[in-house]
Amino acid sequence: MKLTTDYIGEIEYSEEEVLIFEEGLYGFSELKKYLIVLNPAEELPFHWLQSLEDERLTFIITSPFLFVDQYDFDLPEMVAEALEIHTHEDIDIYSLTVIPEKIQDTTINLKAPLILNRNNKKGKQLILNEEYPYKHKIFAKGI
Amino acid sequence: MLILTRKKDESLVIGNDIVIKIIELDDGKVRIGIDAPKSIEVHRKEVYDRIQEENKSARESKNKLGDLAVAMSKKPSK
Repeated sequence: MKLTTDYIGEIEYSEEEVLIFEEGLYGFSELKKYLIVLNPAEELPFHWLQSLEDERLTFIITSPFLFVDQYDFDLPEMVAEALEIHTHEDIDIYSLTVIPEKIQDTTINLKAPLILNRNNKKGKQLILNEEYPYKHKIFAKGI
Repeated sequence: MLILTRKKDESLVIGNDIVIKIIELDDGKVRIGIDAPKSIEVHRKEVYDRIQEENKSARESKNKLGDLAVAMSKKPSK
């Protein structure tokens, strides 16, 4: 299948790659199908989360574990059930990245990570009860 | 908006399986107990709003990824 996006250009993908966020992301509840497009620049740990239902909607995602030493939270039982997660190995975790005008103020959202079951491609944005920031600066000491 | 008056220890029922109880009243603060099925998510409204807002600003970030790449190549940071 093919999708022409504003930002990434033409993408080819297969049905098995399609991520399903049954409830959408917060603020985008109508949009449920996404694709992760890996950054061709391998040294860059930022990838694209592309909506398949709105070609203009592209988020930048990254692994939070690259930027924080400690990131632990409980996965609510209901979420594990809904995503059919059985073990830790089933899970991929991503954070949405906000890149403002001042690049050194780039942040990742640790309060509401994306949880994905890598086997069945079901995903959900979780709101953590644990105290994590909405905006975690990735350049702690500036650039 | 439906507005009702409740006293301490009184409750409301929403639908068939959500019960909201006033636990404690103290100096402008209210403690509320919520009994709802596990599948119903309950969040503080300001948290919910803030995450929507963060997501909306996240969607604007794609155009700046090139600049971020340049910044990171200068100095990777943890």
